[in-house]
Parts: sequence; structure tokens; C-alpha cells
Amino acid sequence: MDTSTNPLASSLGERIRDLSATHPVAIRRITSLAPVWTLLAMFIFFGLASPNFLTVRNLENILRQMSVLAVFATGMTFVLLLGEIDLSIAAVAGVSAMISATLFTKSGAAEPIPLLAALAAAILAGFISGFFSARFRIPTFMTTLAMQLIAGGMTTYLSKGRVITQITDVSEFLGSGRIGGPNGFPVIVVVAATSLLVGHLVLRYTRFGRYIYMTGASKPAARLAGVNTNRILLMVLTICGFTAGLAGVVGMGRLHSALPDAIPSYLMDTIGAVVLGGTSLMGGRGGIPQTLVGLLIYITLRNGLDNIPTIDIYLRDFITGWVLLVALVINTVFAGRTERDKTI
Amino acid sequence: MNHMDRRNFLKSSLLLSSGFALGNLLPVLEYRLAHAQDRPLRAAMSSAGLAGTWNAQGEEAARYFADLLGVEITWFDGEFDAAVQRAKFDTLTNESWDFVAVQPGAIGTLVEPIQDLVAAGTPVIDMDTLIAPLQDLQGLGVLTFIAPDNIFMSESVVKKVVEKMGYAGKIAHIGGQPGHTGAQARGQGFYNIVGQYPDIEIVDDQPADWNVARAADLTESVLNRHPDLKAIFADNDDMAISAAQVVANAGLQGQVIIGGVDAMPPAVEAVRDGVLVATARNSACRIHSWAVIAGTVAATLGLEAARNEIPFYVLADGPAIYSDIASDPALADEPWKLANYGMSATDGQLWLMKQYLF
Repeated sequence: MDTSTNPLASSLGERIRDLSATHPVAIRRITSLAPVWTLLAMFIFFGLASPNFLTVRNLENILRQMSVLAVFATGMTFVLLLGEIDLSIAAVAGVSAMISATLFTKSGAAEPIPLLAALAAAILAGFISGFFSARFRIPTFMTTLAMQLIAGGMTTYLSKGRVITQITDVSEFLGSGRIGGPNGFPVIVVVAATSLLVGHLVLRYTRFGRYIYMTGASKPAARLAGVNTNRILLMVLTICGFTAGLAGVVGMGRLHSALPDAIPSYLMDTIGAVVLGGTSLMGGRGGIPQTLVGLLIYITLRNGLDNIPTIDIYLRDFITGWVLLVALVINTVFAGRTERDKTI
Repeated sequence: MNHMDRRNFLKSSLLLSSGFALGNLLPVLEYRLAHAQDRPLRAAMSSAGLAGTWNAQGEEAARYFADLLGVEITWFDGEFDAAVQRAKFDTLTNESWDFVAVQPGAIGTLVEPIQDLVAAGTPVIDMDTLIAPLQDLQGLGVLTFIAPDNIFMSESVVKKVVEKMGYAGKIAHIGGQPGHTGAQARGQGFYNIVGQYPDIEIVDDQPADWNVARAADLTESVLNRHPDLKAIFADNDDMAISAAQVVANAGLQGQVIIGGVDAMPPAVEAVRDGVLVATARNSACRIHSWAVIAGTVAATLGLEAARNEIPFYVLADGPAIYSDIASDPALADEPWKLANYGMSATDGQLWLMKQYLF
């Protein structure tokens, strides 16, 4: 049958192609916003599935649940844009929190000493990983894996396996405080928003940010263009260390505890959220706005499923995994981010 | 009489009768059994991680008793991650519940949402491990803390292990997660007993974080360094069974004595088969089902009345179960003088666990 004469008989793919040919800019704009549509679809679905989902309290929960990851994700976006990886963030966060709590409880140090010491330790951890990767050409996968063990081991040594539940007022304020009284706005969300905003401004409006994109897109080309790629790598991993340390302090304030083990979900959830938003693992593509959308999708999915009690508890992770995979496919295929293999 | 009045009347009658019963919970439970369908209660429960066999058994027991008492449970799995459990607890506070019972993954991490729940008048029951440091727990408004005595359990097992060692030789300790208060207490129990015998040498003491693969690695390593090792005590059964497999692979099952804690079904069977020398029952069924009962009572009587009714601390642990069976022909006519009447306790324990009673 001649489909050109019968519009009803043409396939969906053909129709989209036709539409793309006639309205290329509009279609590109719509598909490039695929992660946003995914997020909207989730909000609509969970809003219909659970009466508790679209309440003010739960929306605030989503923001709070996202906040620690958002601080981690700011640094991780820098790292992934460079085409590198940092596996040590959860462990660095753990050791930062433990240093702060140990100084406060055992040495009686008052703020800002515990906070500054925690952040300094995290910056040092990032710097060391960056230095060894840049100086000796060791893949960041390996240097940060080693740093994960170093930081985790230091946490265990400092804690002697004990949870410390006495934390500084500053940590508590950053993690659990509210602006404007007991029903005010959570400080942790402000910290997260500030972190993302500063990250965005640096990446978007500074020479350093442009160098990160250049280096991530093609390190040899960036080097030929005069960019000191080793210094970029060193600075990016140091920044990631700093955000990990800040996330550790904020997370400690949220959990009211410095834990003797790294929180396992922090690492993979952070990488998952950043990539889900559209930042490429290969580097050179993505940014903080994408990370924000990725974080929102990731946390909304988890929070939404938690708000539907009829889902079998033993099936929850299975469902989460599948929904995540579908969201990833939508985000990458419809946003045109996949480089298809033209040979097949 | 409208519906609310009738319910209040029933509640008042119940309070009166329970008052006369002087601390007896049975009238409340009878009331719930009779009225389970009238107004099902809604409860939220959370454990550190359902991937653990102990936690999964507790969840089954809780649901079984909840069904009996007309309680609909929504479970929030902590996934062995303090941040995940905290996020789920924040979500949990979106709704109102008749009661909430929780086994926290780490001390201190759930304080804020629990303060919100208590402020809203929701009874909160702490299961197995501390929500907050003990001195803060009562001030937090937690109704009751139902937990085992981890020191007692490990001491019971280690006593049998050192007895089988002949109170001399080399022993290794495989610890649980260092930050886990239960693991710390079990380690303390181990040292309390072993420290009494100067001829026993502790040649290795490392945490395996409840991880069976890590426990196997540690066992291989210690056997390599100390081929004359006589015993291993692991902080839980899963790690003890893992160590037993390594010992068997090395052909040393007759030489190395192994004990664990928790008395989960595979471990009880291992004790029955002589693979483990002893285990002690940390009753997931009792801890979780008692939490459901306490919560039901509080939801029925009201939180303040329940505080007067239910003690703040409820001990819930079980006996040690040994592989050897006491035997003495001279006591054939007086079997009550033999441990367990000269019989194995394993089948009885397995039967009780199948019924979620122990």
C-alpha cells in the first residue's frame, strides 16, 4: 500500500520524521527537553498514584532528600565533564564528618575549627588523587579507588568503630536547621542550591569552566590549544574533594551522627543522578542544569515509590531499576545524545 | 449512639478492664482480635535492611501478628544504608500512623523524623538497636525498646566453645560491623569469657562487617597463619557458617570448633548436624511481633495509657543451642538433671520459628 497517500497507514516513526523535516527546530527543542518531560511524567504519575505525593511536606522532603546528593553532584559534574571519575566521594565525606565530630567531642575544639579541618581534609584528599593522576598518568579510577580505602580506613581508625552522635551546632544548622523558625525553609536546601549555582556559574561563565569542557571533549586538542590539562585535572579533583567534604558535614548534620562507615549509596546515587540528567561519562557534554534535572528524577522516583505502600517491598528495587533504565533510554535517545553505530 | 461514641465507649470499657487486670495486656489483644475488621490499624515498620535473613524473618513475623490483630503494615526497607533509611523515614512522616516500629541502621540517624512522629502523638517502638544514645531515648518519647542482650548471647556461645577447646589453645574472633552496637556487645561478651582463661590465645580479631565473603577470607588467612587454630567465634551465624565451609575445605572440621549467634534456621540445622558447636537465639520473631503487640496496645489504649502499661525496656532473647547432647547413664532416672533433659533443642527451635513464635 502506498502510505504517502494514506496518512493513517504511516508508521509513528515516519510521522515523527515528517514532522522533524517540516518543524526541525521545534522538534529538536521538545526532544532535547526529554529529561524534563520524564520528570513531569513522574510527578503526574506519582501524584495520581499517591495522595501524599504532591503535598507541600513531601515536596519539601524531595528537596531535603536531594540536598546532600546535590552537593556531591556539583563536584561530580565537574569530574565527569572532564571524562574522569571520582570513586572516593562517599569515603571522603565520611572522614570529613568523622574529623569534625572527633575534634568536637574528643578535643573540645569549637567551631569553626572542626568545620575547617573537615573541609581541609577533604580538599587534601581530592588534591592527592588529582596530583597522582596528573603527575604519574594514573587513571583517576585507580587513584580515587585508593583514596576511597585511605579515607575509609582513616574513618575507621578515628572512630574505632563507634558512631559519634554529638555534632557541632554548625553541622546541625547546615543539615537540619531551618530559616525562619521551626516551620521555616530547610537550610540544607539552601546549601545545595548554593552549591549547584556556584558550580553552574563557574562552568558557564569562567575560563576555567570552558577549559573543563575543552579538556573533557578532547584532551589532546585542549593541550594543543594551550590548556594545562594536568592543572585542570588537579583542580577538578580538588573541587570534588571539597564538595564531598561539604556533603559529609551537611549529611552529618542531617543524620545527627558521624558514622564509622561510608554511606554506600552516596557514590552510585551521585554518579547515577548526574549521568541520568545527561552529563556524559565520556566528558565534554552536560552541566549543572542537567545534573539538577537528573537529581530530581532520581529522588522523585525513589520518593514516589516509597509513597505507594501497595508495591511489594521486595520488588521495589527491581521496579526502581527498570524505571531508571526506561528514563535513561528516554533521556538519551530522545534528547539525541546517543551516537548510533552507523555500521549496523 | 454514633460510630465515634461507640468506639470511645469500647475504649473506655477497655481501659477500665485493663486497669482491673493490673498490667495485663490480654484484654487489649482480645479486643483487637474481636474488632480487627472494624477499624484496621495502620502501622509503619522499618528495619535496617530486608536483605538480611534475620530482618526478613522479623518482617514475616510482624506481618503474621499484624494480620491477627487487624493491623495493616507498610514496610520501609532501610537497605542497610543510613541515608536511605533516613530518606524513607522522612517520607513516612507524610502520613499519620497508628504506630511506628523501627530497627535503626545506625544510632542517631532517625532522631528528627521520630521527634516529629512523637510530637504528632504517634507511638514509636524501638526494635533491636538504639535509635538514640540510651540516655536520650526516653526523652525522645519512644514508647518502648525491645532488644536482646547481645552480651548474654555471645557469652553463652563462647562458654561452650572454650569448654570444647579444653580451656586452652588458639581462638579467632570474626566481628560484625564495627559501628553496630550489637556487634560491639557480642565482641564484649567474647572477651568477657575468653579473658578468664589464660591458656587461650586470641590470634586474630577483625571485623568482617557481617559480610560472609569477608568472613571466609579472614578464616583462610588465619588458618594459613595458625594451622593449629582450635576455635572461631563469629558475631553472627552467616559468618560462622561461612567460616565453617572454609574450615571444611581445609579438612580441619574435626580440629576447629566454630560458634555463632542468632540461631537462624540454617545455623540451627548446622548445630544439629555438628557443623557449628553452638549458637544463641536472637529472636527476630519475638522482637518484631512484640513490637506489633506493643504498638497495637498503644494505638488502642492511647499513648499515655500505654506508657503506664508497657515497660520502657523489654528484653527479648533466647537460649543457646548446643550440638552436644547431655548424657549420663547414672542420671537415667533423673533426666531433669541433664541439660535439656538429655535431648536436642534444635527441632523444637526450628518448629517454633516456623510458627513465628520464637
